[in-house]
Amino acid sequence: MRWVVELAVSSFILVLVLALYNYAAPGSLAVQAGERGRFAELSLFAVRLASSPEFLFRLWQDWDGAVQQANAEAKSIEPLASVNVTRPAEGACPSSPQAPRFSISLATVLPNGTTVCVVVRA
Amino acid sequence: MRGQVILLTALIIAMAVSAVLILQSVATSAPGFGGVRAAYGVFSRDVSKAVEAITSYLDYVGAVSLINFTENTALYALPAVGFDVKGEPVEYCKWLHVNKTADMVNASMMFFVANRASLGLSVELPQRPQPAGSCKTLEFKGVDRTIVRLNVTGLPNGTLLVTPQAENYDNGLKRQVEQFSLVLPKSSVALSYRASMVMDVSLLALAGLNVTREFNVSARVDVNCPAGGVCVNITVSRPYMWTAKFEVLNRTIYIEEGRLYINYTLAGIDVDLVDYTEYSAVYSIKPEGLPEGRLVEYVIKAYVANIPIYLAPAAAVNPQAACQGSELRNNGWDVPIVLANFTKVNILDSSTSYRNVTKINYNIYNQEVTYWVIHRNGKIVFNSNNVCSGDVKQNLRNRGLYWVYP
Repeated sequence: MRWVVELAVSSFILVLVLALYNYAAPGSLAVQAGERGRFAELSLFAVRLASSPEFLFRLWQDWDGAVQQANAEAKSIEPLASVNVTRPAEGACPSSPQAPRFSISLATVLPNGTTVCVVVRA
Repeated sequence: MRGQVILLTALIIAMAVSAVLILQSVATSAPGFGGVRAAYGVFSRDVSKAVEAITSYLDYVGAVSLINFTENTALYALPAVGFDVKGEPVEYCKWLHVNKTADMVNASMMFFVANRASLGLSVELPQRPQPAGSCKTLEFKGVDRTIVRLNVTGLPNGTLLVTPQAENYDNGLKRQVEQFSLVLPKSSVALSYRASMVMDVSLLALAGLNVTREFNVSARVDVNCPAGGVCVNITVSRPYMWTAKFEVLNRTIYIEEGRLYINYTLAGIDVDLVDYTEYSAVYSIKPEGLPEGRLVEYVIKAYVANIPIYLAPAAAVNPQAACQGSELRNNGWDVPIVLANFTKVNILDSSTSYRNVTKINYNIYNQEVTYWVIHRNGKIVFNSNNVCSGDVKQNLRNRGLYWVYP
């Protein structure tokens, strides 16, 4: 039965090594746990921005001012965050994350019927 | 025994490794690195945030739909009001103001479609209404669960901005009109939206989430104004969520390079707040820097919570008093009198005896409509004396001439 013990111990060590590697890797759950709070806040901010009548009406009438204000508010959640409002390219909002840490893009509609993308990056 | 132990051990190892890999891939999936649900901040199980985002946008759908409804009705009012007066609801419902509003409702619903993946939503799109009955209440329904309902009483209220063929008659003088604008508002308007939706936010395990938003506005011109100007009384159904902004459109007729323009210009105004409660407000509007008499056929355009509302001064136009002998006169009222004929009528006298009248020809679905606009102090003349005896509107209708406004 000695081989059973060997097998169990070696598999335990293998899993432990994998878990420890993952714990320290940049994409790991543990590292994200710290970031997750801010990212959750940022993504919620993006959703609220894209669904807020106040923001969309202001964007319609004063594009630059609205984007500037949104950027200022995003930076109060995460200092490196930025907000872009763009036209969709070829009918779709940019989907590939172009920021190293965080990126969310949501499609929304201005009061005149134009579709725009609200992109929050960090 | 030995084989079973080996199998079990191998299974435990496989499960541990795959669990780590699955957790990793879930955690790093888009949007963001927090997985799909992070879009609502839902790791905290705070469902109210998701509902808040959805209701907020639903409010927006109602608001932009209503804005488009009032503005489009205003823009295409003259043809629409003709069909309405003649009693052709099907034609009225096919007219541009309904089609354009339906387009906007669909466009605004694209938020739910385009973000279906990132928000984890399932939602159905409302369909445009069948052209039946009156389109003054527009109701867009999904298969069974999504409803966007727009309701405006006091329609049509509005303007016709560009007219292909118009002529102005004044004391025997006939001139081509280059550009013509007309606003046909009432002195009170009530409008509302109700947007209701049942949706599945599947990743939250929220199935059949029912969200409804509604908002009512009513506005009327009040003649009993303490400050001496024109008062506008506004009531809304939700407290403190609105502001009001006012413009006064003043009738302006001018000739430029030999061409006649009949337009509106913005008048300078003083706006005072007379009374304010959490659900209502009274504003007093006074023309600024020009005497009272300079405002002609003026229209008050109020923006309440971004929704444009057209209001006319509360002028009591009496058809009986306007029709004397064989003449129909606009006795100094601040609204124009508008008549329409859909076929050729032979009760109108020669245009040389008209005063301050604009004739507009309009082609709709190969049907020619002619509108006669009698401006302030203008008159139109009939070739028969018995139009004015009895019910003037009915007499005109019997002869193919419809009283459109006011």
